[in-house]
Amino acid sequence: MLKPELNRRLTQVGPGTPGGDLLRRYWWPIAPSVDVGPEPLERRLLGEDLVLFRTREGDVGLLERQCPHRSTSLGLGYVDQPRTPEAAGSPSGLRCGYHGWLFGTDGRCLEQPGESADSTFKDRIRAQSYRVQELGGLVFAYLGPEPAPLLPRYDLFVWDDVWRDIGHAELPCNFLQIMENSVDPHHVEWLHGRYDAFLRELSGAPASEVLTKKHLKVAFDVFEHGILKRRVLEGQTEDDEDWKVGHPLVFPSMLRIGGGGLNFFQIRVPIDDENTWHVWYQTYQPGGSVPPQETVPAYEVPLYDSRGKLLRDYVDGQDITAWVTQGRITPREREHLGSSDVGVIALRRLFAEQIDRVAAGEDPLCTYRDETTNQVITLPQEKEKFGGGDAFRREFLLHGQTRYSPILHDVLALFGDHDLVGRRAVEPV
Amino acid sequence: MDVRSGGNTDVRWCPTCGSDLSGPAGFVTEYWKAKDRWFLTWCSRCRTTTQVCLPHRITATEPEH
Repeated sequence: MLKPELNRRLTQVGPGTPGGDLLRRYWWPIAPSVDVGPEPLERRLLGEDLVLFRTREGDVGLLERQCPHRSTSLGLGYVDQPRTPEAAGSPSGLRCGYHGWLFGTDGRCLEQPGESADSTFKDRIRAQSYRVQELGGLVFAYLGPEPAPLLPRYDLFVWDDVWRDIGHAELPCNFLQIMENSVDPHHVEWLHGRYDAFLRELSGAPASEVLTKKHLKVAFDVFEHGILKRRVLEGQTEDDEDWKVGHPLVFPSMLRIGGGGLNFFQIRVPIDDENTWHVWYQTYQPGGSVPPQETVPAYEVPLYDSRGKLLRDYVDGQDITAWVTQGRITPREREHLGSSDVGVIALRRLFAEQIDRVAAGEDPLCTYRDETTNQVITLPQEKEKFGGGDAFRREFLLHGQTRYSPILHDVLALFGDHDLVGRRAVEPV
Repeated sequence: MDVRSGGNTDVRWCPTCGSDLSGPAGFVTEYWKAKDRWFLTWCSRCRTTTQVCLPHRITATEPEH
């Protein structure tokens, strides 16, 4: 049980809130690079409304959504070249569709077509702009105070010789209850094991052997990247990688998981207090060199079936259903935690601690300011997941949200899983 | 018994430095182990994590004698 005021402190993400002040110290994915072009995308991040666009020169800009002129959304806009003689040859920018004011990626107002040619009014106008960087097929944004920390170069974003794809979905719930799922190992055995077995039994399919194993022991270590999660499953010992290596919750908002050459991040991006943009960032690494990808493809993960019911016939749909049905912000004053929830408590304590650090003027956990330690940040993660990496990969590729990936069957072929190629992705493995 | 806490026995003070944990920055989470009621606290003043147990029964183990 948690006091309501503490629940608010841990779940609020907007400007001027303790939690929002903490979360603004990090870079956040805001869109797949492949989706960003000359037509602006309207995005909402940490309770702030923004527009994202790519200039004709290839630069990415992120501005406040409301035009400084008369507050029309700059989403009603387009990338355009400057048209005045004095600005000829200057880079393109985002032109408001309402009256044609033109803004550079730095927020400077470059043109005001309705004003006289000798007016200096535009020089006194500036749209709020934010830092953006691209890495590994994602655009990241920073909304916090200066000096901005470095964008962490986590290994999956920078590895060579891998394929990547990016699934994403907007979930109608707060980010923290999603993060709590990542320090709750027991749910795997029940939600993805036994509940899933129940559904498969209804459809006449055999239960997964990978996800039904009983947990004998779990542990959570706070470490430099967040919380390292360990487990011993039935039939395993502490010499197995699930315990000896484990895998991390990367503070504040990522889960790293994988096995058998399929390694991925789940990134929980707070849209506002009641909505989260969930990103599944996959890397496929069969070993040796792989043909290069021209772009990192992105795809939307559907939430509902044709009857409007949350999809729950696959691993990530089961998670989504659990998170969303907890409520927009789960009422933690009504919960009853047991000893199997110590990971959840450890995460809340870590958030409370980091909020206090920021309030005291310190950098929070996972802040990088030294280029030499930010070349490649290698995260620990077991390879022989659940006692068998290849079995994990085969299970997750068809029974995880990757079933919606446009390159799924190419990925199966890449790993030599030829028996699965051409199989319907929604068919139980 | 409803395991939801009543409020009178909530842990309010940091067991390490005695700071008031009842404000918004005071971190107190309740959980249960069998019949024992536990609280994990984090104090922003002394930066200490503590676990407090309100036991159903105090048990002791006699050493070999």
